[in-house]
Amino acid sequence: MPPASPDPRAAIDAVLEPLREETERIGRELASNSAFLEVRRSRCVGPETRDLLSLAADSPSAPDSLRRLARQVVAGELTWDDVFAHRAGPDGTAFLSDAFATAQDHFADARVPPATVSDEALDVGIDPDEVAADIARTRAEARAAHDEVFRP
Amino acid sequence: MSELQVEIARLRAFGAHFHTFGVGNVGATGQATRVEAGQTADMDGLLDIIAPAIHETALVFGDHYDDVAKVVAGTGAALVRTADDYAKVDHAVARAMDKEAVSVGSQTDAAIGSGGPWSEHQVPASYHDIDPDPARRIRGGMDADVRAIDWVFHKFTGHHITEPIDAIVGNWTTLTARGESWADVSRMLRAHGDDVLANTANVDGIWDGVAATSFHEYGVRLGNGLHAESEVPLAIQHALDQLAEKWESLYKQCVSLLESVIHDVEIGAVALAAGWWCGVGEAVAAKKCEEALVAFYRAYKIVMLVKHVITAADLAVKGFQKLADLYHLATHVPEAVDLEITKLTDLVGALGSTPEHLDNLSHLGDTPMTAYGGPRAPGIA
Repeated sequence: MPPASPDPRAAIDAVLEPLREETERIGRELASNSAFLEVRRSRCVGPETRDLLSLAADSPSAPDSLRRLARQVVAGELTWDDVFAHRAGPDGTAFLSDAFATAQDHFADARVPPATVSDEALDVGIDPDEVAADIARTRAEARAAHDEVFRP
Repeated sequence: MSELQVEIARLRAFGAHFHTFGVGNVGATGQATRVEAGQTADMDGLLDIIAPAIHETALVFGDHYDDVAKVVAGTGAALVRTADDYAKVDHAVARAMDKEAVSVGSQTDAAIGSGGPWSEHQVPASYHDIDPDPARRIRGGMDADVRAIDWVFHKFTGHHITEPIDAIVGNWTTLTARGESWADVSRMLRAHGDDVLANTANVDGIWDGVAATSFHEYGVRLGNGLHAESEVPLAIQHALDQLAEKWESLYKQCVSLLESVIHDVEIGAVALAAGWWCGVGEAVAAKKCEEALVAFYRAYKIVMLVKHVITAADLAVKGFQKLADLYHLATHVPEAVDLEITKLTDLVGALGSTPEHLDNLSHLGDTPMTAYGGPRAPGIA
């Protein structure tokens, strides 16, 4: 005898279809970001930065930690990428700490020109301020709706 | 000895079991659904988007399972009343026959089949634990790194590095836990279906005739319907798991993107320091912050993706509510039962003693006429 109830799978699939489409879209975005991060992680510290660090290491006001690192870099014992990847041991840690403190001491209150938003960033297709506002609004509305469940 | 094709005492016993099974075992399903699967007090942040739907869907299905329980319990009550009616007929026939002949034999029902004993499974629903703060574990290292250099990024871009990840508020493991509760509900329904089918077969072994055949068809429909029903909570679990899984993946990738931002900004901060030590470096800092913005924008896009997937899951959970009334567990038993009643009535009538209680023997026939509609149909309570 055939069951009285229809096969539920078709009805369930229909309900799940929009979610499936969204998760597939997310899969594509995750893959795109993974590729982006792989490229970013494979990048080395550029020549502009390397030259700047070498120049700074020769400055009389440079900290000892920078001088020691610069000598190790010249000797081929480590690279500036190791330093920024936090793989340069105590000297690397001390240098970054010195550098961050120096930057903050002398530039925290300085006026600097704003960074340009590149085409690559704009191509992502979002405006951070709009997203932040949308999420704040969504959360407030959702919070109110959820509260009604407990305080109808 | 009964002239009817039924073991009346055992039919009555099965009816009582069916009733108890419906009230107790099946009856626990609705409350478990509302209490465990519908729990949303631990959901906040972006989870507020989907929490009302989870709660409402649990209420809808919980009430629906209450109806199913009433159908099962009502089926048991109908079987008991049917057994009583058979007994009255049996008694009337025997009394009529006594007028013409001396009765011989015992008063016990003749064994006519191989119906086994009542069987039943208990599937408990339980509370499922959540990870109290999965996000902290993922972003802990990033938070430590960001403190010393966030001001650099803010100075050049007007943004704070953790803005995107700070917007993704909510513990996605609550979704996984609720999904497990829905899986419990699915296991309960499947077990109920197994029990209905097994005990329908048992009843079949002690009851023959057209009415018994009708009940058998009804029982098979009920059991198969419960099996079909068990697919829906599994699908709800799937939807919640999908959301939790994607949320976690997106969260992790958002942190990875922000770690890329931090890497660039750290170089920028060092460039600023170098500028103090050797007079140049501000331009390099600005350039690194500009490069960092690409990953930062991608991180912000993830915030929108999280919102969109929650919204899609919310629609799915709401969509499942419509399935609560999709299935018809039993239909149109009355015709066959009516035929059996007619035969019984004719038999008793020919003997000059038609009890009034036979006027409406079709208790089973009034069972579910609409989707799980037994409780709403006359004769089932």
